[in-house]
Amino acid sequence: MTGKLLKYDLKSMLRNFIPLWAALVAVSIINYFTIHSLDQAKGVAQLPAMVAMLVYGSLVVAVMVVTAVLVIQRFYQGLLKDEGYLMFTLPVKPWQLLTSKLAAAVIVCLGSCIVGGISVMVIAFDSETYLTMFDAIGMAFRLYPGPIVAGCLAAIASGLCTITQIYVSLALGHLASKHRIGWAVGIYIAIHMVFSWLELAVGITMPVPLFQDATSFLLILAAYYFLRTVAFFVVTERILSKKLNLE
Amino acid sequence: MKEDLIVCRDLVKDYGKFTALDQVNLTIGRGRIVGLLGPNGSGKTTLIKLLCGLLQPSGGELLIDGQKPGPYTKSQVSYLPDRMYFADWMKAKDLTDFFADFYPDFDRTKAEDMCRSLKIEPGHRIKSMSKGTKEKLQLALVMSRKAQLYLLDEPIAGVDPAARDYIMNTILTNYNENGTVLISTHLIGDVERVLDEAIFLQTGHVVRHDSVDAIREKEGKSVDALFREIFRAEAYGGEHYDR
Repeated sequence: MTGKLLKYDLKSMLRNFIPLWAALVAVSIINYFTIHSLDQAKGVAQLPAMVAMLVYGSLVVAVMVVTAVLVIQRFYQGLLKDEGYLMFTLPVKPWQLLTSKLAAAVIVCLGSCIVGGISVMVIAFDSETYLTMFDAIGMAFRLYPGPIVAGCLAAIASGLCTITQIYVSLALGHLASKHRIGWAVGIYIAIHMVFSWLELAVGITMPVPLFQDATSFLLILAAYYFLRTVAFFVVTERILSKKLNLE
Repeated sequence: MKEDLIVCRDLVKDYGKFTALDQVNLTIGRGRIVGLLGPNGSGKTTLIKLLCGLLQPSGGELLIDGQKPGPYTKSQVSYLPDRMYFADWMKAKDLTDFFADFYPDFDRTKAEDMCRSLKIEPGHRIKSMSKGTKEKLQLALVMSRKAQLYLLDEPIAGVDPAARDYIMNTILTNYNENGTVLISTHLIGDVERVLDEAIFLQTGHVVRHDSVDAIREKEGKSVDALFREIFRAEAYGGEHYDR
């Protein structure tokens, strides 16, 4: 059932993202040509390149904003507003609804990062530079596999933690009888501040050798974000299971 | 399969300090069309939301087909809320696919036939449909399931008389006759002719649950007339009807 839920969650998100991702790649291809024509252009002739770069910059911002907005909106509208009447009467458990939303959010966030990376590579396309770059990346993986894998794990766990922190804030805000969005924003900020202070306190008292071993440090960071993700997920699931109160 | 489809024992639902349902005891059998009748704020929607698992009871017990609300009972219940619950980006075909994916008792052919009679094409977007068409589409999908329990929350509120006829006709010609239909409404005159039983809810209490025939025989009046008598008394500050 979770797979079926994910199919619909992805469908609702990708219909917005695919045109945006396609536009970003298309504009980056245009930028590749306009930037390379800048060497010969002077004065007004530079205008197309400027416009193309401006459009590209706007699209990058749009992809980031739309990613954040849709991750929030698909959880809020899909579960806590009218669509919740459909979703919570399906023969599935709340954790399955939540897992599907989280998986769809992670997929579109990764998709946006990958498409963003591809667009930069298109603009800066140079086969010789890329060959050198890929060789360097390959060598880095061979020489430092531990820190790279640990770093990737920490980055993924940090992303999951951010998304579930948004979900738990919206779910806690939903418990209020009025101004639910306002409460959710306040709760998000409060959670963020509490964990920032905690991180600062732990950071000061942490044994120095841990900072010197990058792999250990990154693994501890990944575990820390992963634990936070689990805690946020469990609290959100309990609220949706026991305290759901759709308007 | 249990004989009683719905059993409520001392069921309570509080919203903070406000008690929406208070010590409700109720048993509803199978193959019945039951009216859940009461004015606004009497607890009809709360009881329906508890039955379909959208709310959790604050106290007491609620069983559907012998089980507490959960994935099993949700697979047996077909719910029509008092609002549109579809994402408006969807097309009519997305909705039939959606219902077919999640409900094994969904009859796609029946739903598609009903859509055709409403002149809804599979490619029509929900966003482009009128409010009335959306409501009829929602009803068509809900009634295309062969459910054990149909929970219809105010299906005829705010629609014109012709649409009411369409809605009532759709319900009567499509429900699973071995299942039970629970219709909440305060428009008694339009549903009375189809009801087997009536449940009167007043400020969170069940003040009467009887068969429509018994009400007519004992009271010598229609369910509509009895409803007006009970709730007129409430409007003028009268005492709770009790028997």
